[in-house]
Amino acid sequence: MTLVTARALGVGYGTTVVVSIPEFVIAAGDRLAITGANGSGKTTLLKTLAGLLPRVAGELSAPPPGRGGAVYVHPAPFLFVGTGDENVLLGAHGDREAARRAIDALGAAAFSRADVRTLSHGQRQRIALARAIAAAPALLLVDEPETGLDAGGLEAWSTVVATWPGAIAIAVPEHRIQNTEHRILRLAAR
Amino acid sequence: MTAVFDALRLIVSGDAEVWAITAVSLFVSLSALLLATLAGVPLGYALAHARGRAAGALSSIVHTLTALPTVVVGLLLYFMLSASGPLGWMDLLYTRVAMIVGQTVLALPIVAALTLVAVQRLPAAAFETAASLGLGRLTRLRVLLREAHAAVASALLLAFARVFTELGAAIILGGNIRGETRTLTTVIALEHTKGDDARALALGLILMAIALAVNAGVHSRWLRKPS
Amino acid sequence: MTTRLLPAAAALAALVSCAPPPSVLRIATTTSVDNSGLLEAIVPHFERESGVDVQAIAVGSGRAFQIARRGDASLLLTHEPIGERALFDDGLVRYYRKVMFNRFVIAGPAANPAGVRASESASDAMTRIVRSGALFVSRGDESGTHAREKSLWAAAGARPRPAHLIETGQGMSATLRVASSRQGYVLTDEATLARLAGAVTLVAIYTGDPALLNTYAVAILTTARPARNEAADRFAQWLAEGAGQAHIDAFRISGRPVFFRWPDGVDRTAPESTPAGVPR
Repeated sequence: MTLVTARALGVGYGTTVVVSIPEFVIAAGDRLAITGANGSGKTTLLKTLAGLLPRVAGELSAPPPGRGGAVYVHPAPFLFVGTGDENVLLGAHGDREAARRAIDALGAAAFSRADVRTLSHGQRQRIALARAIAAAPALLLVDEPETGLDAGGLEAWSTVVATWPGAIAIAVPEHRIQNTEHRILRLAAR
Repeated sequence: MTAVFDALRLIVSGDAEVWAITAVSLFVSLSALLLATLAGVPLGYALAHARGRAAGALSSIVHTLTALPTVVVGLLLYFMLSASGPLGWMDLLYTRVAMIVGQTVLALPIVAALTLVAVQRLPAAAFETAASLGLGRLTRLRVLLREAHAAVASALLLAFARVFTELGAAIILGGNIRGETRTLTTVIALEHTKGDDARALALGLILMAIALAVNAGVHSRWLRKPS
Repeated sequence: MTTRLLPAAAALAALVSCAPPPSVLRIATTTSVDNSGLLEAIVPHFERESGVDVQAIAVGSGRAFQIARRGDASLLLTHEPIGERALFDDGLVRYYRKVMFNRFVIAGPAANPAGVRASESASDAMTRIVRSGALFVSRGDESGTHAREKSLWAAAGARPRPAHLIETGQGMSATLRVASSRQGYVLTDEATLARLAGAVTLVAIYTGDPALLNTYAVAILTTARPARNEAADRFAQWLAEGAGQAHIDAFRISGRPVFFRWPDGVDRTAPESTPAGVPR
């Protein structure tokens, strides 16, 4: 099923358009890699698709933010005060089973009980991703997932990518975009 | 110097009146802090999210009210609670309740203003993550306040320090009645005018000791940096 | 948001219901009455037999009159005839009785440089102090004591010159301490002087003039809260005409009596009334 349709979509801040995309569609099961130079609007586009930023121009139809809808993950993972378990439980909206499954999917069970302030960058990213998938998003938007993950994390993440029923759109820096099976959307800075 | 020894002797001897006065101080100020927190934290949180000129004006007013002189609060409430005033029917003047009301008025702006600042200063990513995960309004409130807990704890600590050590509202609204509305600060003032230095100093030392203990307690529990 | 409103509403309801019951009686009196310790000593007797909780708000005379006029206290215990007469003039008095009296004394350094002991009257004593250029320490705070000082100066037709006058603007205890350390003369009530006997080097030098008598009266005003009138009446009766009189008589500071019950036969109903003879 189609999750996102966009036509002449202009994304940016306020009334300023940072980048414009003529037309695209995202359906369930799609894997999209958004790439471009720094400042080309990758984060802006992802946040707009996530419903965190209003679109500046054009038409956009996308799932609303939240459980079962569109969920966005920051590039430098933002975790709330507490433990990994508490963070993922928030994503799961209290469903402990769903939280447990998400943590296992990212291989984070070993350190999920620790205070997040003691975790390495790679571990934090795994928790952030687990929290996102615990919300069972139809559209998962991850900003540069591969940049900070360690080997174990990358492996877990590729399993998620392979098996996730919904759509996944990730941002990838231009110099990293090679050997990907994702559909590529290249952004050119204005 | 002898006054200091007299003071210490008074504290150690367990003088019943001294401890009764201390209990009244704590009861009044902690009650006021509780009420100020119940009302002020949600207010600060709401103001942090509000947009528009009315909200901006209200935030300014709240910030300005943090500097209310204690005697002014005491006087204004006195006129309202007096038997010949609009709220005289409540018969609250010269009771501990009146003192609690006065101190709540002093504490509330501090709690609200500092909570407002604390929430505003949270990183954008905190708000974005909460929105993106679709957290419910109450969950969001709980999570964001938890994020700002160090700053909110500081706010409560400051509000407590302000009301625990204030004199103006307590003495005007309480009347310094023996066995009823005497607090550490009001009795220090009384003993000073009577010329009894030993007692005044003893109470002053207790006042400082409690203020320090509360500070140290909150710091070690909530404001510690991770090792 | 409602889960925050509920505890707040409950707290407010609890606050409102906290008004004290009618068995609490608030009285307004002066700091000197309170500081003498008299109330602390005799009121418990009344509280035990009546079940009334008597709470005393002790402030300066001016404030005490204000509190009673506004109805924030049900009973007034003062020693200021001018302020008391003003209550009558304003038609506010429902009950008024003289309760007791005590004495002012002129105290000073044991050396007594102004030769006050041989004075023939209070105004004579003041004249001697002014003429000798001795130091006089005044309360200067518009209190009853201060008012008495001013009336004595008026009667004497003489006032200490600024260089020989210190106005402390404070209560009796603080003023006595200043007088003691500066070795000056001071007008004081006997009770406070007796209480501070160990802390000051002043001695009582002259007393006995009717002009130095300080009379205390209890008043209940029409502005008092009706719910408390019964308790107020009861306490006033007890103090002015009942068992309280004996307790006043029995009160001692350092073994000395400092208050005297109102003598029989002397009018109790006018603020200007004073007992003629004085016990020595």
